[in-house]
Amino acid sequence: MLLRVLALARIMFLDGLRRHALLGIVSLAIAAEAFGLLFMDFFGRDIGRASSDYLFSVMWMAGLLFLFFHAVQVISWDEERGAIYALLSRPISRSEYVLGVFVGLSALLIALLLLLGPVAYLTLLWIKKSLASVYFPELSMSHFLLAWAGVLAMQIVILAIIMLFSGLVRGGFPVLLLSASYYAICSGLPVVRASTAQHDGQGLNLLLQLMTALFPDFSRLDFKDEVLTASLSLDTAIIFTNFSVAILYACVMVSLACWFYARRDLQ
Amino acid sequence: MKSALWLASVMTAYACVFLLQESSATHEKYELSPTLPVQMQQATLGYFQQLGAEMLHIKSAVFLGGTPSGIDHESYVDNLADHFDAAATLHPKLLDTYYLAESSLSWINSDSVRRANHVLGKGIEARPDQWVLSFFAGFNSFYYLKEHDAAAEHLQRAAAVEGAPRWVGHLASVIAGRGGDIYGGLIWLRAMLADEEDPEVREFYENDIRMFENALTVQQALEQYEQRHGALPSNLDQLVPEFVPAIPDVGPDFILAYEDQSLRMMRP
Repeated sequence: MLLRVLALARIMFLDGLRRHALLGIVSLAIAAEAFGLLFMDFFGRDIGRASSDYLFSVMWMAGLLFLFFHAVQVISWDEERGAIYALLSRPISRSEYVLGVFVGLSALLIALLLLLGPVAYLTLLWIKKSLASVYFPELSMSHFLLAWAGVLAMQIVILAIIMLFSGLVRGGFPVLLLSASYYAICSGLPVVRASTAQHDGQGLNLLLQLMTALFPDFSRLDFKDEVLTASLSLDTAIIFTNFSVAILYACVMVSLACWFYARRDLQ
Repeated sequence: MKSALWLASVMTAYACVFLLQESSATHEKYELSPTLPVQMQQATLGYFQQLGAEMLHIKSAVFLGGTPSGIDHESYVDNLADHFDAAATLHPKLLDTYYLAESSLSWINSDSVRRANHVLGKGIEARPDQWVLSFFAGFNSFYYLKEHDAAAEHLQRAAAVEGAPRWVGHLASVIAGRGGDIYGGLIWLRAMLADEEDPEVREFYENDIRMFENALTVQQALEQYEQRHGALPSNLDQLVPEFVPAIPDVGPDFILAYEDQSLRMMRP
């Protein structure tokens, strides 16, 4: 089974590499990261922090563009072009197909972030060397990797949700709308929780907590602020838990996507 | 030929309308547009929250850099304060927000200086390693708001931060005395002295401590007077000679002031 999934993932990966839109995203993101050298000129004091925030935002934006303009369409493209029938006529199940697409797109996402991550780190290193230490006191490579892994984990979760919606509905545009709505709820829910935590009843708080299980709080994987610190401000156990929640959540969503897609009418 | 003529006509029409638009745009009122409610920004920005705060900072800096001379500063102060407040909420660790808020907001009016201190409060909470933020808040309380007790409190917090210059603590004690807290000022000065190794600075502190101790005898006399008469005296002369043999000298670095039934150590 693993070999079949990997073979399909390889097709998805190569198909993605051939798409000009993806090359465009990569070019745009690298150009935007290079712009970080100019962005720092807008700040007079906390230059390192502003530059780091900007570069991670570029990585996040590039990942979102990939997810919302490529990943949401992959399964619908196969369905519209009839490629799905060619694939399923082979000894490959529908669940393996969904898993193969997920693994292939995850590999593309990792490749994208692997390309942008070192560019961002080198840009930060360049900025740090060009400034007095008071403006950029610390740059930790391990914390940079942690923040990078946080971006990847969040985007893998969104990809898993895209797989689920792709298994539930037909067409790239409905999947895009559902995924964008999901992301909006995930971003907004922590704000609602923070505002109701002080003065509303336990019932509502419990409901919002349950909703967070469905719409995870991405800010728990946002470690941008740690990049410029010498020692982590968060407990490593909390960090480990946050990553574990994200990975298990993605596993649940992909499993559900496989389950739904195996039972869906393809006509 | 016809199509070339048509294209030239359309392009000429566009150029005319564009120039008309540009000429009217140059007469637009110079103002800072309001920012969205911060909760809405938090909900919509997600991972871009920090970048959103930095954009608000840039927008504010660009606006302040281009303010025409003679502009009514009160016309934009509320929007500017909202920008800093939102930026500090979205990204409380970014120092630039606080530097810009302090330099642009604190001096306009009493409401704006309070808003500057409110913004600085977020920075003090998020960046406890930055003594300068508490110093800014202390300066605002002392210089603009004339709230000496609050100023002393901010400066004491600034002095407690690792790496803060030693003079901040001294300033806190002097301002505490000025605000009527002779006891607080004296305790702070003694703590500074105990921690000081430089003989010249020690002598400086010892002199201040002597003056504060002199003032403390008057403060204690005031308390005894109040216990006996049920009210504070209208002037310090009423304490002599029953409660204190003479009003002690605290000069030349200080003046002992008795205003609004409060004893203060003022700089001459």
